[in-house]
Amino acid sequence: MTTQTMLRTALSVTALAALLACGGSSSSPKVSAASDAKGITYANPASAGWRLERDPSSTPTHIVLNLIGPAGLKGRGIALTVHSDNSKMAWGRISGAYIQDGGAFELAMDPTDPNEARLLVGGVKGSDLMVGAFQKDPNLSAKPLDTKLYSFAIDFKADAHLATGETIPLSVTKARLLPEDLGPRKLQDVTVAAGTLKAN
Amino acid sequence: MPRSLPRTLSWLPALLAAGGLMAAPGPRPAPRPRPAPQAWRNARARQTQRAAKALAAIAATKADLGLGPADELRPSAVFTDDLGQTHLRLQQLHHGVRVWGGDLVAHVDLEGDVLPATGHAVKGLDLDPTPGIPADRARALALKHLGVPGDLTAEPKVELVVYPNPGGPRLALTWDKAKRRFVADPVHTVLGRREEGSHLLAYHVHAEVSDPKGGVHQEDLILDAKDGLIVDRWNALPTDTPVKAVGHSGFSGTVSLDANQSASGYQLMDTARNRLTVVDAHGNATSYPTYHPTTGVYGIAAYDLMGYYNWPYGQHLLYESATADFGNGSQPSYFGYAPASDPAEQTGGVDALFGVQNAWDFYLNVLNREGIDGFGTPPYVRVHWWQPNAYWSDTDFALTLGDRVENDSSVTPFATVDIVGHELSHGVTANTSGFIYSGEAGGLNEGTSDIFGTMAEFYQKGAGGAGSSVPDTGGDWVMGGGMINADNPEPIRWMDHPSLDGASPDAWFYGIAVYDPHYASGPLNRMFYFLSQGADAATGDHHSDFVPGGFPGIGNDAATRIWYRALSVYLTPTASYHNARSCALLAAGDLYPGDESVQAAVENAFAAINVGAAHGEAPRPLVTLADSGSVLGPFFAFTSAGDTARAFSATVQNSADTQVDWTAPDGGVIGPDGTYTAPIRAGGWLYRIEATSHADALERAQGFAYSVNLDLDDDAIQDASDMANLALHYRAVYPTPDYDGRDDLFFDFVIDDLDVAAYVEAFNRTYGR
Repeated sequence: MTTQTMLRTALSVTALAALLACGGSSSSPKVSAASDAKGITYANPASAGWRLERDPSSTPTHIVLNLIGPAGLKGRGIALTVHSDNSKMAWGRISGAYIQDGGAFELAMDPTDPNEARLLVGGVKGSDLMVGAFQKDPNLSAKPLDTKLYSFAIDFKADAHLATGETIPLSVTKARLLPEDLGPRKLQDVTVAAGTLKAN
Repeated sequence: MPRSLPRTLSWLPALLAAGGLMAAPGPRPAPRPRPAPQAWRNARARQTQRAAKALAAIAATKADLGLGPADELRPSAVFTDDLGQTHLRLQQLHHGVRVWGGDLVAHVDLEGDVLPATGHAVKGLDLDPTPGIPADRARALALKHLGVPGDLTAEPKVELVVYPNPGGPRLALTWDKAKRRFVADPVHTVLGRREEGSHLLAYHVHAEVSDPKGGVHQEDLILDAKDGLIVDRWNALPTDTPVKAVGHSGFSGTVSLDANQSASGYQLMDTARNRLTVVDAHGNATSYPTYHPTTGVYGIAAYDLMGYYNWPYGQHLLYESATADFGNGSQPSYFGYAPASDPAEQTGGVDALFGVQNAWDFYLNVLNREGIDGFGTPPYVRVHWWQPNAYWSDTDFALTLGDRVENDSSVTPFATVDIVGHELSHGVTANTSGFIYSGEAGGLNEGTSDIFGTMAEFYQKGAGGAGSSVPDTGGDWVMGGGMINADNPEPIRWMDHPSLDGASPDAWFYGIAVYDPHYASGPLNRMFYFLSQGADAATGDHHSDFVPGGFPGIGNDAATRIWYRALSVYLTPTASYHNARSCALLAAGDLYPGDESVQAAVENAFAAINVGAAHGEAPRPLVTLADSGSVLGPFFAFTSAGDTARAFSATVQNSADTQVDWTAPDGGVIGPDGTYTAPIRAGGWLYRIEATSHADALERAQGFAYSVNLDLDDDAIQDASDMANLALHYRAVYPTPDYDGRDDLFFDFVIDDLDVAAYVEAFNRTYGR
């Protein structure tokens, strides 16, 4: 053993002793606190405009949210970017996908053809969920928006060890509507209200 | 490092000794004498056996060619040429499916010895020949995504093929006259996915469409046989570039025409030329008329379309006259096309038929070719088509000559001798080398028509359309020179200096294949000029920096024979410029055996367009790119601020110094290692990338970075809301204006279901499902 390796070994031993003195462990996994939440809850927003509403199919560990628009408005599609904190939750899947069509838009020219391409996407980038559905054919009529347009899900993250009652951030940071009037050839920015997501 | 000295010095002393630096007509070489008649007849009579011998010889080398047990070489054509050589064209099949680019030509000389084969076989194929979709589904998908409006003029052809994997998107460029720069052709740029493997099973669909607004389209699409995704496509219509001019009368003054007399009068129909001459084993020649396979007409007939567009549904009347006189030298009014019996209406028909007869005689008398297909089958000519354009249709076996409107009054048909010869030569090419109309072969195709169209003009104006040689005087070295006037002072193309049009390159470089064939033809045209007329040492239109000392030419006649033999004997459908050089050298050796000056002329002519080395010169550095049509942030790959860089890679051959200098002339930043960072701009943008050899500043390769960024709202991420742009473009042809007021999104692409599917697939691939 050289002088240098001897010195390194000595330093390592000293560090381990200091760590143990502080009450930690060099090998044991983190133990859950007794107050860790077992699931998540979602309270709908008060807004009657653009909003995310909890779907009845939700479970304590899998919240399904429906995007619903305001009454009296028509459109051809909408995309959202929904922000949360992926250290405290996980974006869930519905039937294996990050988005589930609500059936309000005519996404296919031939709805009976399952192979026809549809502008329906859902994906995750970090803490953001990006979802969208658009009618691809501008010749189709715009549709009323005060119904379930599409759904996405949030999963409880057990290894996040959240305290019961802890609020999990949730907001719609971007929402763009393809409006009924295509004349200006522009999307419209809209504001979508999100409810309150908590650990339970 | 200056590159001129090493090239010049190797042969400059000989040139100086020969008399000077200006290109002077060199001695005209004497062609190889034809074999004795009996020897030729014997070779011709034993053509079948000789072809079988060639086939057996090449079959014995299958393993050397890299072909496996699933590969087959199937004969597709055989003929015996004037020199008594028999040539057997072979098509490679894999599990019985035609291999795209797998074309070989086997040769047997007069004495019966097998010569080395030319062409290209595709090695190492191992594909399952079972398509994922049936042929009728491929047909339907192709028609659905033609991207051009109009009615089908014929039943589309659908063929299962083994196709070279494009490996990703395929760019097609077209020249934007207003912007004076190349832009992406929105219809023919294919935004396909990247596939693994060198080849894939695909459907080739060829469709012809007549469009009331856009004219005739001949569209070729390649669809992945797995699922129908379009992986390649091109517009196969060989046409001329429209130009504007004021009116003239007929182009050739008073001419003598072979016409037809019927019971009611005379017709612009030539029944004298469409005769196939057959020589039997005893040397007896017999001649019999051939007829058009569709019309059944025994004659080269000229029809009047009277300004209609929708052949074959519009008017098309055979030109007729009560007397043996046609035309009056003037042209019809744009607003008043008259019946085909009207003299002014007939003038275009006279020019058209005269041009066809001249080109026919040129091929027959100079090159011993019986018409377009070698069997004397008569084409027909459609005159006064409504478009300012002209084209050849191999399906119709017809030339169509459009009209240029002059000051909103009269019209001028595209019927000069060189233009007619050009279009007819497309038919000859289709029946010989079969150059596809895409890539470098597309440039060779278009250039070949320019070459023989021009030689037909020299034959007419310099030799009166008679005799067995092409003179060096009488014609000009531009296409459509006869249509030049004060309002339209430029020709369609300059053969001797192609870049005068501001778009065509003068020389070959790696990456030229992506150019439209009308521009990719530039180097071949210039090569032919140099081969015939030589190059000047003095700076000017006829100087080449690649062979700065100049060199003598061999004249029109010898140059014509060499290129025709290369075309008809050696070259294959997917040939490149370098293939053209090697085949031209073979042809020169056949025609002028032992004449080193001819070999030198061919080498120098190609060297002057940067294909191969000059005579006596060491091999030049050759710069190639790993990806000439690169895509930066592949389409629908969700480029964001951090995803705009791509590494280009260049290879330099024939030089100890393998370094290159990178430049990005259209913007962006490229580092010394070829890593390119594009500007962050929403929409689709094309950026040229060039790699220039350290060892030789003239040697370069050009590629393109193609950036598509759908980040329409400039928040540095392509997300689901950007997807709305597809909806705004869905099935819209040339929509305006674009979403959010941007002009260059998608290059105005027509979005269809395949694009939607590709977008969703890429989104899912990037962000998960």
